[in-house]
Amino acid sequence: MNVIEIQGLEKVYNETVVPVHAIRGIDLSFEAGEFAAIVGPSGSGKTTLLNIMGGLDQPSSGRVMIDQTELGRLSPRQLIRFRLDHIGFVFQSYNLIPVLTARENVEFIMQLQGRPKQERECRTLELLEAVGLGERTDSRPSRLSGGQQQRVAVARALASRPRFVLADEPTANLDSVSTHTLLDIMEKLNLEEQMTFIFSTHDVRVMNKARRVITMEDGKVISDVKRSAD
Amino acid sequence: MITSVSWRNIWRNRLRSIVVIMAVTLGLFAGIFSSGVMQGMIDRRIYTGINTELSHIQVHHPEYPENNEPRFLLPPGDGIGSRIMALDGVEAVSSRTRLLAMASSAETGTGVMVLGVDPAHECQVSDLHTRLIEGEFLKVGSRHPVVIGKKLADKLDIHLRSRIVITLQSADGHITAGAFRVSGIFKTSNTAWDETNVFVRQDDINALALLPAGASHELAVRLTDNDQTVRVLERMQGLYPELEIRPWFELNKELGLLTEYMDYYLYAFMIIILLALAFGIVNTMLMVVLERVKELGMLMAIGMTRTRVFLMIMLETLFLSLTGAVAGAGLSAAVMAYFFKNGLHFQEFTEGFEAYGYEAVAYPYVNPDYYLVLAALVALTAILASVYPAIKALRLNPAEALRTE
Repeated sequence: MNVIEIQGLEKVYNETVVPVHAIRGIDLSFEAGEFAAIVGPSGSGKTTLLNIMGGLDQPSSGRVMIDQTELGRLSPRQLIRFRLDHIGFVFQSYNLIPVLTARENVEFIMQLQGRPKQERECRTLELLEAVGLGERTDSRPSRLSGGQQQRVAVARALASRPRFVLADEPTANLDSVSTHTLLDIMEKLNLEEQMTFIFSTHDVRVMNKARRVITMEDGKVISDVKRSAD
Repeated sequence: MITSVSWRNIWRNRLRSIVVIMAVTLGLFAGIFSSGVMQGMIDRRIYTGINTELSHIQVHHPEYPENNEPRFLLPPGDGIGSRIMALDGVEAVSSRTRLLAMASSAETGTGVMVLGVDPAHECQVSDLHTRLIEGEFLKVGSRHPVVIGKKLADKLDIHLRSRIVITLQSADGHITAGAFRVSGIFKTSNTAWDETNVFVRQDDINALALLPAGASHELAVRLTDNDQTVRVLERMQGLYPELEIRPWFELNKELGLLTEYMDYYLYAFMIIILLALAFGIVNTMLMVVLERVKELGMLMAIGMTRTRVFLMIMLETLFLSLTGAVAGAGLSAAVMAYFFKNGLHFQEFTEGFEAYGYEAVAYPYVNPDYYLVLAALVALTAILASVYPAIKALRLNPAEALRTE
């Protein structure tokens, strides 16, 4: 069953001045449990596509359906709630809340959802264990390495029990050891929890791990290759 | 957790937050302390006005306040005084004869108000006897004693035991004069009052002015508590509707005005200070928002509602301001407690202050309620100051905000 369905997607910036076509007529779908990478050179439209899929940006035309819900039909308030409950985000530069500890960062999103305290605490510990940070729960981001911060970000993205995780260049600021660790953790979560991961990246290591690689250029999908898990 | 995040956020840039907190602290301290000094001086002025110059309530013939003529006497007999004395809240009553007169020494003369009093009763109504710097208050056994102010003594160039002549219009309309010997010299914080009021025995002045023994123009009423003034006044006015009965704040309109005006003044003063601080707070919070564009974008992206973002910015502003407010109020309370005990002296300005009836020492004080109202005003200022930065934050587009470096 498709988690995400994208139909006739177009995105044009500065439509009235000098139009820039960031996305040109994309049709795509993602099934539950995919581990997909969207690749392409800078300016190819990867991040724009991810932003539209995540409800952070509006398409100029076309539609994005997530579990039969068309994002374009949601009010801004409904969209925020939808993101909170259905989509997990991992950003390039970690983007943790610096004044909160690793545990609090993960718990924060569940608190926004209004989940009970006991559930929050259990899930937080479970996720931090899963990303290998069970011993650093009370460390603030400034006391963690880049790789560790990104692992907290992954745990946070999963905390709300989303339908899928969008990760925009998650390894761009990491060294190779941290990249491998992070990718292994995400792959494990993908396989064990059937969590859908969609990355935008131009990191070969990510491409090699992905079981589906979608290549974009000038706002178009020029190839979409699926591979079986090794 | 938003509360916790907001509180922790203000300590992210410690130096900047401390600067803002210090600004609020010092601004409030300056406002509260100077308000306290003014309140203290005015309280003392009112205290002197009531205890030395006026008493709480005065009773007159209805035409006396307009004309000050000797013939406008209170009804004879001491029935009024006794009945007022029996009222709940009344501590003492003194009967006074008040006559406009000319006081002359061998050197010069000046217009004065002569108050004929019974020393025993007068000492229960007024604290003038405690303000004598020389002699005694209408000493028993002395012949025709007069008590005058230091300022008048200097003006007439006379001293203790000097003789002065008091010239006035008697009840029959003729000009009459009598010699009095200075038995005491007082000094209050109101030099103008010291210069124009002289005290003699009521029997002496009544005899000179050909008024009946025991006749008086004024009853000065002292109450057990100033807060009882309006209640006792209404009771007295009900008992004697035909007489002119006025409280201290009508007898001296300046004092009445000060009482009413001071409340407005204190708040207006603080509001001006808080407005000035508000601009500093807005500036700081704008910097906070601009520095955290990416983080705010992330929060909105992961599902934080605009209401919560607004609340977070507002709480940060509130915490920043209230921390300064608590420190400012604490500092003010401590400094004021010290000066309330020891007095804040303005010795170099004594002459100037006393010319306007003020003591050259202040005992700073503000009503404890003032702190509560101030806390509410600071909170309101913080909320208002947070609106513009918070709106700036709400206008962020998460996707664009996340791309900022």
